[in-house]
Amino acid sequence: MNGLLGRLFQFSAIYGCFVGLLWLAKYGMGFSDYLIPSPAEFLHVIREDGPDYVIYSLNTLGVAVYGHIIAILLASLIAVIGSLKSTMGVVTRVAAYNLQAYPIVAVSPIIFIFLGDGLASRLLIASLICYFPLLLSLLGIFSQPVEDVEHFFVETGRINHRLRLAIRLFENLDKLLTVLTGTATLAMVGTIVAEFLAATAGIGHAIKIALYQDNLARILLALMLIGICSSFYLAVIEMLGRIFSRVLQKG
Amino acid sequence: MQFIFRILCIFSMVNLMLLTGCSSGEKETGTSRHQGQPVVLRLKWLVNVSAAGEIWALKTGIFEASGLKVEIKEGGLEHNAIKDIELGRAQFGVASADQVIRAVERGADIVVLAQIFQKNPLKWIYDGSKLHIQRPEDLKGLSVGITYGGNDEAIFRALAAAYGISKEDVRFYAVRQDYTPFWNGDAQLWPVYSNVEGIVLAKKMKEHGRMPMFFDAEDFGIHLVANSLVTSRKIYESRPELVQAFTQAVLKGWEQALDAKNGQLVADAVHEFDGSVGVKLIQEQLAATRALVLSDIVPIGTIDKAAWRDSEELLFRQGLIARHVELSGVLK
Amino acid sequence: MYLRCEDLSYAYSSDSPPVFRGVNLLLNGPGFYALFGLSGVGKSTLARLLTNRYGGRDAGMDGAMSGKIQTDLQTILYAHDSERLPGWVSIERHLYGVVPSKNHGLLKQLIREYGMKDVVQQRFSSLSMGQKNRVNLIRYLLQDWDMLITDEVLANVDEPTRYTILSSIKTLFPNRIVLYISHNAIEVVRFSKGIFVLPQTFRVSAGLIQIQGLDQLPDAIPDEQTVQTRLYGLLKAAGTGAEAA
Repeated sequence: MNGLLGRLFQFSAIYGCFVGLLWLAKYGMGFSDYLIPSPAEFLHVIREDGPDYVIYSLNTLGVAVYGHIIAILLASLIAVIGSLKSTMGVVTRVAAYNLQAYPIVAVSPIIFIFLGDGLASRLLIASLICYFPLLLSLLGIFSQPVEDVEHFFVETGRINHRLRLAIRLFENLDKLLTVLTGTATLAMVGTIVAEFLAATAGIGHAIKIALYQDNLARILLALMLIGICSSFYLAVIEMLGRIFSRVLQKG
Repeated sequence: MQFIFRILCIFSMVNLMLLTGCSSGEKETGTSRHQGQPVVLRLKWLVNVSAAGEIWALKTGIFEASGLKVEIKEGGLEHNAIKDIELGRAQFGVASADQVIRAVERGADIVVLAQIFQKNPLKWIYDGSKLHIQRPEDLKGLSVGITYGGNDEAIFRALAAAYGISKEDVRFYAVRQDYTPFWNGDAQLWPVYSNVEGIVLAKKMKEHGRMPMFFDAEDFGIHLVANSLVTSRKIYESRPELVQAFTQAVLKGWEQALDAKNGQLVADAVHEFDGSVGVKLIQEQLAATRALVLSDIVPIGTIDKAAWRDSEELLFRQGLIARHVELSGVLK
Repeated sequence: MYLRCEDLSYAYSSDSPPVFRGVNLLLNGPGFYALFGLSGVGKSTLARLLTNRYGGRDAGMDGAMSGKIQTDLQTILYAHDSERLPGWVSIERHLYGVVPSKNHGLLKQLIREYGMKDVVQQRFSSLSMGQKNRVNLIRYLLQDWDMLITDEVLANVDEPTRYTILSSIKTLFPNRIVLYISHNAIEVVRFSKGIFVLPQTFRVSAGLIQIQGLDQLPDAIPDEQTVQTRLYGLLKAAGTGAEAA
């Protein structure tokens, strides 16, 4: 709970400074409401569009969570295969490192052609955007020996791939948690990018419409809700991570 | 060691210079070579045949002859001409009526100098061999592509409201950058700028044995004025000679660009700025643009005030502006 | 039951100076042996080399080795003081998981004798350094091995407990070879049957110096004068490379 409040406070402080600076610029330089909306217009938009935008944001958050889970499963699978010393492992590693060079925005038209602009595309793009950092971290974790723990099992001939992965995963739980938290933000970003590119739902879609209509007040509202949703999701992941870590370490 | 250090310093400086050079901002479309009053023109969208007049004026020295050193910059979702004018990054811009009216409603002090497009190029393309659309009511039961938040959505909803087409009568399909949904029939009508991608799409349809047809809401009394030349009221009032010189130069550019005898040269000029489209295709696009910009009744650049009033009414009825906007002081 | 090294040299890479060279060593028959030397002389490297060569496993020894190692031993294990147990299970669960069931009775005994009874329900991370050393040693002792190389495995254990443990190893495993690596010269002198001193390479051109240990057992404790004399010889050999008179 403290983590959530802390994250919300951090976000509110940054967002408040950002909006404050915008308004400082607006009134300092005499910009119109068209360029930068007034506080009154922003409040009006919050009142008028707030409920809809909350629903859009929750929709995006839902897709981001599912996308993140898919990415974690996919990255774990590929990393497990990639950590093998066999040809298959080497090929998987090379493919994984090379594939990450392609920007998802460039690949997305192909995704939309085959999957349309519904939920599947949003999920896939969200997954792919957070999948690569996850994969690289997991490959790093899985291929880095924990000599102090593994030595006994190597000496006694008990080591196997599963045990090796379990040791490396457990010993790098903190690192993994940091990566999971980091990629959670990417999952949100990925979902929004997908919605922006081609979707008919979610906060990314709402931002696109607001951009077409030159409505910065709505974009500011969307940014606020994205920040709140991201903070919430990150705090939940951190909390789950702490609980999981405590259960494993304390028994 | 010192030699290596020097080499590294020089390498870093060259890199830095290259990077700052590359990241100085968005793509510039072109600049006059000679001296004159520096002017930045922000287009409404990417450079294409819809900016043929401005490109021609730049290319043939019309701007220079008017004492102007013009820099043309591409527009886009994130590069709004009116915002650039307010921020002082551009002196002139190209914007559509919906952008102008929304800006004025929210306090932007801008004026419209000329209306470049007498007819809105935005139309819906469809396969005439399969669909027979004579009137708006024929749209019932069809799936129509719209860009949520875009001009075409406002136009289509206005049309639907005017002709009693309910939400249940049509299926909307969200438009995105590729035409796959139109090709595979998910969307039977697809919004296009008839003088730009409309030409490309029509050509492809013909190649595939389809019969391209355009549905134009303007034929049924739905007006939303498209590309117009705008500037700030401050520039308009404080630098009338600049405004006059620029406006006349742009209109002269358009007049010459649409003159059939210049067709090949204009296409070459546009191709020079947008190499992705072939000269032959640009010539076809130019022919389609001619019908949108030139009018038999009024001179080039004439502001159709009635159409602007219609546009304002359309936006108000669609809830895209919260209150009526007085345009008399805006349209010059 | 033997292990012999002949003219053994090792360098971390082909263009780096050798860690040691010309090492000749013979462990002939079961017993408690020690490998002694000052820090950085290559004791652990030599120990890993022995395990790597005959255990058939990759112990990360990818430098340049020359010389011969011969043995009739089947299983040589190498344990060191930095080792940790997996943190996701209790110590007891881990020990009962890795110790062959035929040794479970002995496991129970060692847990009790080594003072680990009250902490076996805990996780490894919650133990003191000395407890960590002991629990690590227990799991090695109860594997099937012919030779166990223990590298500073009791480094953080208090002296009385160390003596108890060393005595029990000698009592419980009289028919196997233990090569004990430690910086504690007194216990090396007291408990070892034979001591192999690896001198500092910049003072000595080559080889190991062999010194007779006192092979202390619970019922045969050497007198202090003998211990001091042997200790002097050991430290002199380790420091200067000179064999004691």
